[in-house]
Amino acid sequence: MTHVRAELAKAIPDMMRQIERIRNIGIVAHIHHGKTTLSDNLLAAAGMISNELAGKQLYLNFDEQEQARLLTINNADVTIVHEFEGQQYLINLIDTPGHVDFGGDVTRAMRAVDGAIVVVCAVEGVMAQTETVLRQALREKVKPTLFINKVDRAIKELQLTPDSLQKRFGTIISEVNELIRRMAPEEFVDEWSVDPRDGSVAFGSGYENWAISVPYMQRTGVKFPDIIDFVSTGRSREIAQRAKINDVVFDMVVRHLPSPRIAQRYRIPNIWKGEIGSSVGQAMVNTDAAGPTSFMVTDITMDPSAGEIATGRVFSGHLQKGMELQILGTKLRNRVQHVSLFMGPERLMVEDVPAGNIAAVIGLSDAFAGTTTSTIPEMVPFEEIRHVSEPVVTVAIEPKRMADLPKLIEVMRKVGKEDASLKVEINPETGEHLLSGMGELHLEITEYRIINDYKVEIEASKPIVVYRELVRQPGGPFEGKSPNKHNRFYFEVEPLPAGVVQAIKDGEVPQGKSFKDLKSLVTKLDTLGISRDEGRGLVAVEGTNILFDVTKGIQYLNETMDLIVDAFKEAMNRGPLANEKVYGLKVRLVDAKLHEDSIHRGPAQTIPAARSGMYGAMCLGDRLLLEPFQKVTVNVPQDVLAGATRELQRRRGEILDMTNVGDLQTVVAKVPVAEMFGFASDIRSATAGKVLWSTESMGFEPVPVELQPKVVAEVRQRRGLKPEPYDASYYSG
Amino acid sequence: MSELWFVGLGLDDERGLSRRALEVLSRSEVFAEEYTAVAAPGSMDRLSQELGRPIVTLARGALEGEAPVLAALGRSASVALLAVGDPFAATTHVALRLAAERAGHTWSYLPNASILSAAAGFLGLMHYRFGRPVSLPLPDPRFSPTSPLERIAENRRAGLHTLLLLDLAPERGEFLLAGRALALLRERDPDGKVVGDDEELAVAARVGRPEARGYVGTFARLVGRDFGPPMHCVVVLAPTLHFEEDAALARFRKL
Repeated sequence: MTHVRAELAKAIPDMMRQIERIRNIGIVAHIHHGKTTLSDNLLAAAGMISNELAGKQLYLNFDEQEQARLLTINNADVTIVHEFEGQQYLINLIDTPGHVDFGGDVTRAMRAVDGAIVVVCAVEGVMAQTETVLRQALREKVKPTLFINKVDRAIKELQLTPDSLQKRFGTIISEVNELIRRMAPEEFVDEWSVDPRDGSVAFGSGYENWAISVPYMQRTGVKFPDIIDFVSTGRSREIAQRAKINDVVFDMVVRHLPSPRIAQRYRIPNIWKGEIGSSVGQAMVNTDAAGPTSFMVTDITMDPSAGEIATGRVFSGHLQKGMELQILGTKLRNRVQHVSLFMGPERLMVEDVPAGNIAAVIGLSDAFAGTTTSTIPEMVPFEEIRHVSEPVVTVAIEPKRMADLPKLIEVMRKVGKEDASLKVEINPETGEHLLSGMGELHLEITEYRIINDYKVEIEASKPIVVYRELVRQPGGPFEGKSPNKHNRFYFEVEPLPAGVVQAIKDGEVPQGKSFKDLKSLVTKLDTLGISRDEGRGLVAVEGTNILFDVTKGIQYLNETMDLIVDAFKEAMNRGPLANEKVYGLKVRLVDAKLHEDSIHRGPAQTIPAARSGMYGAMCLGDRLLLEPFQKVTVNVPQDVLAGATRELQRRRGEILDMTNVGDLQTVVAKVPVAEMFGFASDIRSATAGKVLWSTESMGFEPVPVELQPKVVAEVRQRRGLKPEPYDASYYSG
Repeated sequence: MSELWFVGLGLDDERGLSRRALEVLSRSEVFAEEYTAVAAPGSMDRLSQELGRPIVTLARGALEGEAPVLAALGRSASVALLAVGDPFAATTHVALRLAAERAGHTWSYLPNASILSAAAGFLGLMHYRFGRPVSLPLPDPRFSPTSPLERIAENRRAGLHTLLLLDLAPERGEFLLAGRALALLRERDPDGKVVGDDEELAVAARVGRPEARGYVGTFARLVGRDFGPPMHCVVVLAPTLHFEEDAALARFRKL
């Protein structure tokens, strides 16, 4: 039986320490197989929400209650206390994202749990996404149990006899076991197959709020024909009283899914790349609450009163109010201000959360979803903090009702904080609200969240690819003249060495025009292919571009340099080809001829002169348009491999690698982002839905020569420019 | 082949034009520029009426772009550019002259009074005792050159006066006036190392016009003061004065 929430608060702090009696689980399903209804009713039965609300209202999305306030808590992690064979167990139920397409988030949620309830609809049976979600779980060594849902519909709509119903269940179970056999970690292939006789399979109706399993039938004497009888005569309420869904399902969870103590022993070597022999490695393998703290953040949510809340799993040590944690991958430390557990829409404040539990933390303001935090600054994180790649696709967003504008601005700001790979900005020219992200799907999911989670009706423009500009070879010197003809600036350009571009992206070469430690920066650049002589002339870094002054002893140049930097910034943010940002350019000021009197070389004279000089030099260096590429990793079973590769190649994709593990084929391809529109649905239909895919930014590369003029013309026309870019003679005027 | 006339208007109004200039203007296509100095209000309108032909005033961008003037040279035998002061003195239109040459046209020059000579003349200072003149730009967060102060310091070290020309942006009605110009100098020279508070300066306002005024006094007395409508210029005096200069300045010290 399960305990109601009033008693919960008192019981939990003690229970968190009984690691053998903790279960961290997730519920996964093919879409519309009833995951959300099941979750809601489990919580209702567990006393978390009222029975009347459950089933009618999708509880795992608390929005209905929250929409009066601006913000929803779009996190649905819940802690439940369940009594099994005379002992109390703590079950942490983690919400998993509904979008199977969005690989990273699902993987992260799976990483935080040790066991899963796989929900399969009795009417539809095993579907494509059943395979996908099961694969995600098994890959993270998450042990499955099976819940066959919507049995009420199978009885009422299909009018199945007890025999044919049992046969149907048999088919589903053997199909699921076939998938487990194919995809489970080798050492668990036999152990993890599900079996109704031992109770690792349960049957029932999330909607009608009842469930049974073989052990439960044996214990209570309820027989399957009785169930059929009750359901088909409209007396489901009665079985819901006798075969309580939460008892049956949570009994299954407690009996068949592992405790953190057991699971972390085999899961840590699988999901963590660090040295197992290290102190933190040992603490995690042993779920040692006395060891160093490691806490992996799975989700960041915004609470209207508390601010940012980081939810995640404590793998070792403990979390305590007031302690300082290193945000791994950064130089930052944050102080834990509050520790709590989620109980539906509320948080239960606790003193301290030991290893093995799921916690909600306030104070980790520098953490993002996926961040590992630790008391050991040099700990290897669960996920490498990837330098957030630059967004490659942009949409303009506006509210359907203008009255929603202030709310939209607020929501977009929050969405940007919750997902580090999103960029939110206001276009200063048009006043549009621009949302930029890693791909079409990424933006679609974000739009979906704005509409469904935050309840703002919006219109989004067609997504637009972000391009970059560069030169093919060195260009210049080119003379830029001031409008009054009294001043001349001479520039040369060439692509920066790749190592320098990377160093800028990594923050080792800082942005701007004042450098604290120029000396060591010059040394650093020297190792990356910029001579000391040139390096000493470092003037400014803008984006991934650098301006060097290699002139010697030109009078008055110093009082003009700020204006040259202004011109440099302007030119790097609006390239001469299509007004896109310039990417990885070295600009050298090689000579200048200036008017004696400062008034004849002010901003109105110097800025256009320097800009023309840079643009002209770029023309001479043969301008290139760069487009973003994505590394697309597609996991498919053998039988649909051909469809998947065809879909990739159709999109100018280049197959980089193909590997297989058992039945599973992994195809890695490099595909231009411009060709990725519509990929989500096309790859699904090309593979009969049996696909799991993810993308990763691969940076910018030149648009194929034969396509460049066409793409340039398109971008220019979209910006209201004439289709043809200007040539060098224009800039020498 | 056409002829481009560079005509100076002088520092006052249309009455400062020579007979020769009026004769040339009356048979030319006439452009004017008033962005580096302004003539007395209404000058261009009255002149246009007197000549019986339009005067096209060009903004900086249009004149520096050269196209309108070169196009006129293509259609008219005689084109005139009327500049306030002198066309080749404080502001120089040499670039346009070179462009006309390159296009195969000839040019002629009708000089007129320039502030470069008239300021000294008005105050009674000797031209032979001036160092390099320097302009002071309107304040701009992106551009605060240090060369004007360096130039003043250099001239003073050599025992010379400095003529300080003050920026203007007539298109937005903004003139750097002497009181504010001195305040700007103080901002950049807070300790008075280049010009101290007790040292004497001269302000010449509206030189060449009937409303011309001169003011001589210590920096402390002149800074921030209102010297009436534009145009203004400042002379940072040499550390010592010739006795005749001293005598000439005497009447401005009383004002």
